[in-house]
Amino acid sequence: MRKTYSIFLFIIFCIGFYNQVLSQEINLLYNLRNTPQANLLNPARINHNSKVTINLPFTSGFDFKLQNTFSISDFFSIENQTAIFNFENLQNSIGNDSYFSQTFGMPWVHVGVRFNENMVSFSITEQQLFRTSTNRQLIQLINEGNQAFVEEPFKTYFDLNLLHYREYAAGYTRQLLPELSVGGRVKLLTGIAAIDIKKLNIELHTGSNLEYLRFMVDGEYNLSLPININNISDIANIKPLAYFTNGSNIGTAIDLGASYRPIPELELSASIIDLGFIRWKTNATNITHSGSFTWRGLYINQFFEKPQIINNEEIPEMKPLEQLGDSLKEIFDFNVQEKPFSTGMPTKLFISGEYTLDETFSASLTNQLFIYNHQLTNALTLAGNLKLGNVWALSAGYSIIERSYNNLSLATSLKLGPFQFYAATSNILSMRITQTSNFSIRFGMNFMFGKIEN
Amino acid sequence: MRKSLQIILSIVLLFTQSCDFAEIATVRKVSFVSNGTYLLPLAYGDIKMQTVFDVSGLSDINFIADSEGYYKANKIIEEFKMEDTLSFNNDVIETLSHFQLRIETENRIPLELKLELIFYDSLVNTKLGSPIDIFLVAPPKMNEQGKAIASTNNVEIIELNAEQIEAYQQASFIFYKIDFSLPQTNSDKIMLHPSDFLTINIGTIVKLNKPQNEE
Repeated sequence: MRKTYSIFLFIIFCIGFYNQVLSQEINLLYNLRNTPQANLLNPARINHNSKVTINLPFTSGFDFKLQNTFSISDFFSIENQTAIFNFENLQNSIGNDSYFSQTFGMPWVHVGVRFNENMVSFSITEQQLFRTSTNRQLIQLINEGNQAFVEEPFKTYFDLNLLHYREYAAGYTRQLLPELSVGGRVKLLTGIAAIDIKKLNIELHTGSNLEYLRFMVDGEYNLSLPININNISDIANIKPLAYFTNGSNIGTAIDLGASYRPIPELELSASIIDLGFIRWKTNATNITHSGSFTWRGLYINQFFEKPQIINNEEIPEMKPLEQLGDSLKEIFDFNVQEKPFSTGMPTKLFISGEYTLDETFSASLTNQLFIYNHQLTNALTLAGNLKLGNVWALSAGYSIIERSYNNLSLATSLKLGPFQFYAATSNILSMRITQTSNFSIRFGMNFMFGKIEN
Repeated sequence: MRKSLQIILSIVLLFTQSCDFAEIATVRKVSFVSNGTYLLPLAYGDIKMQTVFDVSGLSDINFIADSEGYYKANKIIEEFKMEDTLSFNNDVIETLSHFQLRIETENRIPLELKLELIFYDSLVNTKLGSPIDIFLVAPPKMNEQGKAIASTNNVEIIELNAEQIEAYQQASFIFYKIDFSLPQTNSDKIMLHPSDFLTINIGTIVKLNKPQNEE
């Protein structure tokens, strides 16, 4: 009972602790000893010596990440019970492109079995991703107004991607030589929902003599949702079971990895994860629109002209809002088609070097390149990895994540009999969520049986 | 049961302490800080003399043009003033730290137009700030026969800085005076041509106040 209580307290500590920290992608899991999760980031790497590893639904853990190019405190503060949104500070703190992303992953099941120099694995994982981006000009427009865009027009874009899919993965790892391991994983993907804004370009031209405002929009979107976009009222009839078991949107992806030891103490490794696509067919909808309208103000001639009479009816004078509404119609004149479309997967590229000093300690440098929708983000982690037998492992390091330089990463695992608890994050420096631009937590439990003798 | 409750309370405590939720829950008011200066066209149009004839009904009566199409009018009234007092709602002006109204005209109609605005405090019946006095429409170039021979471009800017806006915020009504007058010419007649015109573009530049935090 006392042991159970201690385990509980440890979990509480992890949950409470990791709720306060930040991260992009958790590079430390790549090097954390004793845990099978490293194999998910490089299928050639096996960081534990158990014969069988199993993850079960809901106990296997969660992976949740929020990432921003700015922290909430960059533009938000509370003073005298007033919430202040300061767009001046926000404009000064963000770069040319800003984005917000959120991902969630939950393994339903994972089984890995090792025999001789081989390991085979199978897993089912739920994955969800939301990402949106725009450029600095949108914040500049809100902060400085359109006076800043008289000489040069305001031009911005808005990008948004939402993916919800499930992956069924079969993996194989083999130690070809004492110094060389390779691995791969083939994934069958079933898409559940997608929103892909391929482009949404917005321009605002302001006449230097206040004579006009010209608003131009050019958009192209692909959607695959549980409802047909033409019948929004069907939203009340969505059947959750049908939604979660949708198998009409098929895709595929591969993971590849290799690990090489030029000298026994040094391990060089690289991997590519989630290289693939999904073909979306369920309620696949393609929407395009393009148009502009020019606002020149209220047309005063109407007050001086005789009302028009058509079919003995006097046509009432045009109201300004009606003028605006008529102009906006062109912009929102959507062209809707129903054709299947494809989306690429969020691909990760890892490169790592790890130097082992002795049985208990190693130092590592790991770089992760995240590639999605023509955008790149980078996370570099320098870490020290401690291993006390097969029971406890701790990795701690410093990470540079995009333009964020204040990230102290931490990951740990504790094995008690066949149960192993693990948790990881990319930053423990910030203790308040409003101060963070990155928030990530990955924790869970592995069942680990048997032992491979090195 | 008691231990379970302690564990749940520990989780809630750790979570709320770490996420600023306690502070966020105290928020009673939201304000936005920006340096925004916004340019907005308000009105535009072009008034042709022919339209004035049509609307006024002059086209329908026996009003004969000469061989060049000019209509001859006597200078019965050379100046006409219109003045009145309007109540003034200062809600909008309170939100501004800078205001500019730009009125651009091109005029070929034999007419000039001036505007005067005076802000008053009704309680003590005193003028507030300096009056606004502008040439709304400048007269065209006229010849000896009283014909407009060239249009005149005019840009008038009414600019209110923070000090003036603060003064006008106390106002409860505005006195306005519009002064219509015929342009200076040696002729005792004014010649009006249907192609004479007045084009107008009115736009505004406003800068919003930064919110002042209440103690």
